[in-house]
Amino acid sequence: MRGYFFSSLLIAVGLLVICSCSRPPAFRLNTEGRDPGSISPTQHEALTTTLADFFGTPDQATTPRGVELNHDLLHLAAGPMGRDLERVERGLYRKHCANCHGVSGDGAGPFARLLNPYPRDFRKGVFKYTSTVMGAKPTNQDLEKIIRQGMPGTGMPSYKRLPDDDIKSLVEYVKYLSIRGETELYLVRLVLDENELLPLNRQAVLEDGVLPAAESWDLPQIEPDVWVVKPHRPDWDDQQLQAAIARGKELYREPRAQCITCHGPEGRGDGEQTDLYDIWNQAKKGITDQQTRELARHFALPIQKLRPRNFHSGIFHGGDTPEDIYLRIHIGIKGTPMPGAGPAPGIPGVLTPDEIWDLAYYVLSLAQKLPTHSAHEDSERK
Amino acid sequence: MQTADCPQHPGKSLSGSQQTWPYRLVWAFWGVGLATIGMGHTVTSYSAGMAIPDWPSVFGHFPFLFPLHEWFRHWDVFLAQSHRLIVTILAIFSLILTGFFWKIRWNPHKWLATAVFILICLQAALGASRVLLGDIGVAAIHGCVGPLCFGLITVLLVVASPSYEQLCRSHHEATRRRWRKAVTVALFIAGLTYLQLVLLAQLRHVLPQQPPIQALLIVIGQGILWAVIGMIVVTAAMVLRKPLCNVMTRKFLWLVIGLYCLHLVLGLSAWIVNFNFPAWFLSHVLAVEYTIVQGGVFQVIVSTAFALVSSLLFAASLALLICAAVDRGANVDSDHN
Repeated sequence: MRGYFFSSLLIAVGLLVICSCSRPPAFRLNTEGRDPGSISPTQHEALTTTLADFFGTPDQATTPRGVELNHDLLHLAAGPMGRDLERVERGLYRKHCANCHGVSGDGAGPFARLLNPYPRDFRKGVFKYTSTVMGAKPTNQDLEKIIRQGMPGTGMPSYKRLPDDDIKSLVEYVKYLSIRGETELYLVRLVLDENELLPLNRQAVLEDGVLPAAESWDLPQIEPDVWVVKPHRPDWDDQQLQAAIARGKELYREPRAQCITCHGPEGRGDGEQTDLYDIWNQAKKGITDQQTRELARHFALPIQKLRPRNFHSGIFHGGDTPEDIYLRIHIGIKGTPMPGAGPAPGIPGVLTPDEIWDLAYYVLSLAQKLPTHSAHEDSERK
Repeated sequence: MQTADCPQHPGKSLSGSQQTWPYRLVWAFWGVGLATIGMGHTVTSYSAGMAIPDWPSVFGHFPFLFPLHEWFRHWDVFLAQSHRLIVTILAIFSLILTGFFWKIRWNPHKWLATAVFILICLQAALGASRVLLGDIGVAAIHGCVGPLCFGLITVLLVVASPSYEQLCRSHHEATRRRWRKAVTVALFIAGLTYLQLVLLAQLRHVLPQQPPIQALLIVIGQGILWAVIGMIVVTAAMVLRKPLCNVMTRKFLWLVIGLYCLHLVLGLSAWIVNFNFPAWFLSHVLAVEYTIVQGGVFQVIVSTAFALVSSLLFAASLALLICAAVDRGANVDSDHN
């Protein structure tokens, strides 16, 4: 009787376990909206094996020589979640990020469809809220800041409870996914658009695809004076602040600032321009609705429109300090139609730094979020 | 002093103390079951299922000799180890209770207690498999079997209660048709609340490689189930209204209604603390500046409470089903009479 009971129990558990066992997660190939049927098995094989040789798998993340990532931090974030026998917690990316950003960093994790805006797709190497000029990669501090403070009004949570090392580890893994993603895009275009002869020349791929993607991450760290915008908040008294807000209000309506087009005359996000998409969704948009519907079949997520910010709501995804708003106006929001108004290397800005501050304070006044402390007091508090 | 028939020998009455102390024992067992399932849901909310990588040992230590300072060093380890220990207590308790009911030969208590013990063993084996295989798919099954186990413990508690004995002996004016309706709605509530639990377990143990459409379909399924359960609960309130049913059945009906409302509120709150307010709500209805704090106390409490209330709702609906079904004997008797 006892033997019968235990053998039945074992069979039941065995069946349940077999039925529920899942395969280890793999990186999903980025076909950029192409019909998967148009990719031959040989091309698919060439792409996946080349990428695996350079970057390993989600469980065993590796990087090719020349890619300067901290492997200790990388290995804390990679792999399945849980502690090892030395009590070190691993798999941080899968624990904290993969449910939304996906195992491949494609922004199409299991919960992505429930979110508006969608989670960031790291594979284009474009990040919306940074302190670096348009076209440059974010600094480590930019990514750490977003992870630590989250994005108000979106599904991106604040991870302020995580230890600093864990956040650094997640930043390193995001950079890894981004470099891998950019290499993947380079490879996909090389193999599918330019019909490169197979097998691929690994050395050429390393030099022309992997290393440029990796080096672009180093630029803001090596030359911060060129690539990073440092806002210096003016120390204004109340009277000066009110004057700046009045100037900002005028500026807001000026054609060169282009604010009204999207944000509307009163800053309620109700401008004339409503057909707005970021670069991730622009790729899903066909010329006709029919084309858009057909394209949608080849993307994990349907097309999603952008909503210009309603300043009166007081919600700013990239942060609501005067410095944050200054950076948004100066640099713009990368990957979106929000342009940068400040100067960038080789490009004169449409607004001067003083004008950007005027505009920033006007926007904050609409949101009723004017700072109660001076820049000096704020920096001392920090 | 309360008296009731002895379940082993119908007709022979038991004194109050003879009847109530096994009931108190089952209450204690139910309490441990609630603590276990609550701890299990907390482990899931904190993603602490793999905080201890080995089983049955704990970082190489014998489970009961795991050093206390190590236990409290990491919150996730504390949760996982506490969950394991409380499950051990529950299993031992279950074994004792099963042996006890078999010894005193109470029916159907001994069979129910045996079923609970088997389910606890199955659940423990699934928990162990989840750790040893490191597979989140197994965790989802573990999350489905847990509430089933707790539901069965609740049924045992209901069956062991003195009020249940009184309910078995009571007669009222209900017709067989009304009884069928009552049992059917109770059955639907129990079945659908369990289905909702299964869907919830899939959301709480989502596979990282799962396509985004699946989670959306699960959420839509949950929404439809909520609406359907709501309608059935309203139907149940009409079918089981006073004076057509026993006071115990009505109590469970009110409990189901209360838990359903709480479940609804917690479900919406759990959405907000995990995914934030919907975009249309932020842009058109009310501007709310809110940032989700991952692993924050508020997020964990709301998510855990939602899962726990789901389990309680299922357990209460099972209790309602048992009470509604027991009326059959009384009705059949009254029909015969």
